[in-house]
Amino acid sequence: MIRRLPVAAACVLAWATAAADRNLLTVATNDNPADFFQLESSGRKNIAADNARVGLVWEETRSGRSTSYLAFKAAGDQATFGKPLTLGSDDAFNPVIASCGGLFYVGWIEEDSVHVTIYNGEQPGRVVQPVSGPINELTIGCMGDSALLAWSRRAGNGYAVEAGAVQAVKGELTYTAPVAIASTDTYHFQTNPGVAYAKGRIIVTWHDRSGGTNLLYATSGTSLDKLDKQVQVNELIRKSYEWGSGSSAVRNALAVGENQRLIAVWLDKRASRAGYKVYSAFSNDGGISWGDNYNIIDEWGTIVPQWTPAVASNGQKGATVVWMDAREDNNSIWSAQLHGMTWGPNTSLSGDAEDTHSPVIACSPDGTVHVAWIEKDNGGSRIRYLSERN
Amino acid sequence: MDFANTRLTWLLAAIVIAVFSLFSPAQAEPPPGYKFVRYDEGLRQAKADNRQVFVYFGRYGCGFCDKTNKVGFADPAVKAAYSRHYILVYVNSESMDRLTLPSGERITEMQLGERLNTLGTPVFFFLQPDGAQILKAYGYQGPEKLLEMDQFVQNGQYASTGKHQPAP
Repeated sequence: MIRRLPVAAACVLAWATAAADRNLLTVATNDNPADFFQLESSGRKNIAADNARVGLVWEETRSGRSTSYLAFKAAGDQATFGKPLTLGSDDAFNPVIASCGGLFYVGWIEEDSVHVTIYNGEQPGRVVQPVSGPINELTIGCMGDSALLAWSRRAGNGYAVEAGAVQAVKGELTYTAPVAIASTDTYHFQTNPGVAYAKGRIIVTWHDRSGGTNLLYATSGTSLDKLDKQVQVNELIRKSYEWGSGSSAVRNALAVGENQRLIAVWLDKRASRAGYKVYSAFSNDGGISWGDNYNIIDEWGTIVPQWTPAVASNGQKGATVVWMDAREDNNSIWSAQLHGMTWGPNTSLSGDAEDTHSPVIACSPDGTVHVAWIEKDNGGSRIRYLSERN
Repeated sequence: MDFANTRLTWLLAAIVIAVFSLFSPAQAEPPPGYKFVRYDEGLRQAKADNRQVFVYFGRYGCGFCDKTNKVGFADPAVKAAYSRHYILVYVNSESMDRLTLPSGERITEMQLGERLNTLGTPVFFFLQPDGAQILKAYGYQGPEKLLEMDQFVQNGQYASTGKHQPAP
């Protein structure tokens, strides 16, 4: 008797194969040239999915003020996104979303404070504010059925990254006290946090330029009150020993892949004259140590800068990275698939669209890949959503 | 008031200012001695005062920014010309601080670099008071080149090139 082993659902795009089941939708449209869409958050956590639903959060600015929105879509090709729900009541920006243990945790920044709620169905729970102060950026991740939050706040003339956990208990949110992830005496400009949970450890990634250029660090520990000393993730390339401090690493994004391996991607300035490249590094021990840095950009993309990298995995096989670059003249969304420890060739996702940018990505446990981005042309702008189930 | 106490107070104040200035993000990257302001603030000022704008797009740690600061902008003639002729704007190309564009759109300083498709840093822009682009220059600029660009803009030579570009 032949016994079939369960096949892991891979979080990869297979656009070129007939097996791929693709679905392209418009989530929101904007014809008013004075209104602007934003898909922007620390770690690019604007989309999340379980096997039943996908949630997307975005921001619209007009007259210098922002409103954040959330829309859900049921799984399956026939479903479309529902009516957008407004997040917060005032100037609300940097919305984030995570699907943790069957609940959608949604956060945003409003009145300088972090706001968080849960959505079970279309109805929001009570909104809580785990932290107040001049908050600049916010990111989110999952720790079982709890959510991890990390943010940067103004601290003196610099910034500090802090983290906290939020948990839904009988439909009500409880939260932990904020924890500093590194000393502001040494690291004055802690920004752009990412957060994840792997191998029983909480991992917060962040950038700091106190050493003369932006470097990528990871702080990790078995709990928020037991964080170890930070380690540097990116390799610093000194370009000149007379001028400047060398290459920088900015805008990191995190995912947890197969065997709870951490995948960090970021923009790296080590290339000489072609702007940022997307680089990656892996950690197999929950963020204690990180391996070599790998360039994700293939030779066709080396002549132009890359922007806004985002990464997703469903914790099983594979992972997908998306970003924007203009190697074919127009701003387009590009992707690369992780197979084992190797990144595959770069593939365009947005086709012939005039100007597409700001991609975000999530992966369902069943392996469905969800990507959203902003598309602009003379007719206005819109948020596009694409999914593929292998 | 006791003279010794007054002196001590001034000394302490000077130490505090010096320590804070070391960590000030606003003063860390543009050349010292120049009055650089944020992009959105600079465009507002330029429109109100009908002055041209000089935009310095830099990165903390960037070698050619460092060299331009220490060689190009250290020249007294450059300092006099640029301080007199332009609203000076500095954009930290890796900052997630948000700017409000004249259109009302709010983006980060890094997103501005993405819009302008900056290959690297430094990048310098000369803008009209309404934000229209006059001239763009990449890479290290020594004092001669900085003064040459200033002359090009101040003499109105750019008008004959027809290379006006819309504001970012």
